[in-house]
Amino acid sequence: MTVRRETHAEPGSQRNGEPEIGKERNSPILPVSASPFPPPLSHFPSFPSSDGPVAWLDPVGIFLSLLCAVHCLLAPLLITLLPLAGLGFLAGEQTEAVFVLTTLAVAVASLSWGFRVHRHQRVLLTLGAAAAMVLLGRFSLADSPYEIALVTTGAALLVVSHTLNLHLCRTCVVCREEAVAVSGDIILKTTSLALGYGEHVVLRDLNFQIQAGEFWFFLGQNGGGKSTLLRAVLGLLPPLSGSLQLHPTLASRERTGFVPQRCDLNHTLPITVREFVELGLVGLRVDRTDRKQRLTWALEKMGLLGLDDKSYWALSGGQHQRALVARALIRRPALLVLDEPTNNLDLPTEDALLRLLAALNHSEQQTILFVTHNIELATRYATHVGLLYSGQMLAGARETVLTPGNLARIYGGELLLATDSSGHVVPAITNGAVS
Amino acid sequence: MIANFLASWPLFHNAYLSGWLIGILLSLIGVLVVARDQIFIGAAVSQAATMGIAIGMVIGSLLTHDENSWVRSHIFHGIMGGLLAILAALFTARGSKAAGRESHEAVTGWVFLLSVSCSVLLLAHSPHGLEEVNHILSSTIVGATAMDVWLFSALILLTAGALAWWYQPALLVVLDPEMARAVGVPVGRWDALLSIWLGVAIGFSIHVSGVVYAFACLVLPALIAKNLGREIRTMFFLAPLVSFAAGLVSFVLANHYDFPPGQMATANLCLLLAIAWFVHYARLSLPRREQLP
Repeated sequence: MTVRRETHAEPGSQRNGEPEIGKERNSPILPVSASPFPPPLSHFPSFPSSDGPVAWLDPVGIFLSLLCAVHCLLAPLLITLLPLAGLGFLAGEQTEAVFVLTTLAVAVASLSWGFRVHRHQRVLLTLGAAAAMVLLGRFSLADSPYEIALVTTGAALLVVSHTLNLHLCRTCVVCREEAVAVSGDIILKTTSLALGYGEHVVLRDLNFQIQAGEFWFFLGQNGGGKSTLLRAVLGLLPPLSGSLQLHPTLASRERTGFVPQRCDLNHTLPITVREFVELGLVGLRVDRTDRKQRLTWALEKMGLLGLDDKSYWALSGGQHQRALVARALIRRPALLVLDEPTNNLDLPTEDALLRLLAALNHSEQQTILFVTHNIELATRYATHVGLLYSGQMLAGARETVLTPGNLARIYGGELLLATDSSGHVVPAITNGAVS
Repeated sequence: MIANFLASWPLFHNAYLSGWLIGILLSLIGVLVVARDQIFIGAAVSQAATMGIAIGMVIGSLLTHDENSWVRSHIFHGIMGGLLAILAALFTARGSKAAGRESHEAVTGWVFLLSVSCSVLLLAHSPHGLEEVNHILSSTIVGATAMDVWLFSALILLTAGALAWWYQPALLVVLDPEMARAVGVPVGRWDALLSIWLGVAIGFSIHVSGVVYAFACLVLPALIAKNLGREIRTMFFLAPLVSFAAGLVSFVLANHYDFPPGQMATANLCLLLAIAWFVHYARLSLPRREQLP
């Protein structure tokens, strides 16, 4: 095998008579600069301000946390105390002690919501408060069977009200943002993971972890297990052995977006771009305003704004692909999974798509998992790379994984190494399928 | 013509109301069937319901000679029809595209042919039974009762409510099951639920309206709506509207000219579909002509 180096052309320059990227008639709406790296973040629209992630020490964040606490306190208090008051009134007995106890328990349980701990911790706190209430009532405050019954009823109502809140609070402005991954968090971790179908093991002994805000590229030859790995991450394929752990905020998959290779819609159906993109909202509770805001934002990001009332079938191949990405983005995912989304895309569209993803990765701290055959894209945009070969995966930071030696070991073809203007190595395979 | 229809109202109002309600109910479910491009499922499930009724009759005649026994009642036959329809819907709707497995079309065809042949074979030596099967196949709605009207009203309310509440997950499961799975929608359960609901609706309808009318109401209004509408959402409003309008006109015509109402409605819906195709192609070609210099 020979290893050669040659200077790689700038992606924005004229190549073999091809039109200049970003200048041709049907180019993507977003401009493509000459630099192979993403343009400054100010070039891209950010999330709508009211939906922005809430920072901990930010005054707005603190205010919203308090707002959430009040919101989460009032509803359970009303749900719990009103029936108790009704029962007390019917029985004609004074039960101040019970009311004080119930109020305290509800307050303790509710304030935990204000501090935005995880859902399972909230459940534990609520159950704990209810149990403490029953125990205190039984052994300290309540001195008649009637009061004991009332305390028990109050505890049950507390659990019911917080179970309701667990669902209702998903629409609350603070809790909705809870799932936004914080940079530095581990969002996915595998330990001795083996994946496959029935007896057939496709991938084995996978040990890697992904942190929030990383841009992962998964490369490998056909049948190497790239899509299998994605299916496992999406929860569509159970592990044969080992473990694959997801961050709790991603477990419900409300904050996961998925872009498939293609979408086999019934071609005879009338469907507009808006209707197609809004399908991505499945499983999320969003009101009309939020829905509209998300739609506009996703379409704007993908350069499809103004086409929302157009038939989906009137779009070009590249626009279809962007509509698929918009359908994933409308979920405002903390984890975005893309399975070879650049197939069938021309160079300018592919480049613009990758720039957008890179911008999202930078500005919104979105974690992106991107499956492709295109090593060149990985060298430009990846922060981390997973190279799949012979049922195993070499995973890590791009600089350590994407080396000529590793690539030659996996692809086995004659390797061309190129450098762009910034001095980054851009490998390509000539005898293999990749370039 | 209309005076004649109004004059027949006291005698046939249950039949007319049932016919319209069946049309509305099946056209709502039909949008999902058409969206999935599994139109032939309607025919297969309808025939399976007929076979279920035939099986119910055989069981009834084997168990007792008492004509008043519940196993020989229409209720039991209806239950058996519904049961077989559900089984057929579950079996056909879950046809796999996976390599090495039989295609969805092949499974649906098998269910259809098995049901057609067995429903006749089972009752070949039972004159009354064969008459009943022919009655179902010929689609007459004259025998509908007030109970049927209430039943189909309730089914429409349930279906419309469920569609309004679960519109997006149902649509995503039908249009793009892979994406639905990826975002955590239990596609298998949804598939089963939709199949059961299809089976229930057709199973109940078939005993009142017959195979042809039920199949026609399932697919034709949805196909018309597909060709006239610009969004899938519109199809859910347009299809029941078309079904009701076609039923209204057809029953008036059938009453005046003394034709079977089910066949009349089916023929009219077919005519409307042809017109909808014309409108659709005209709409598609118009912008192209405008672009010509």
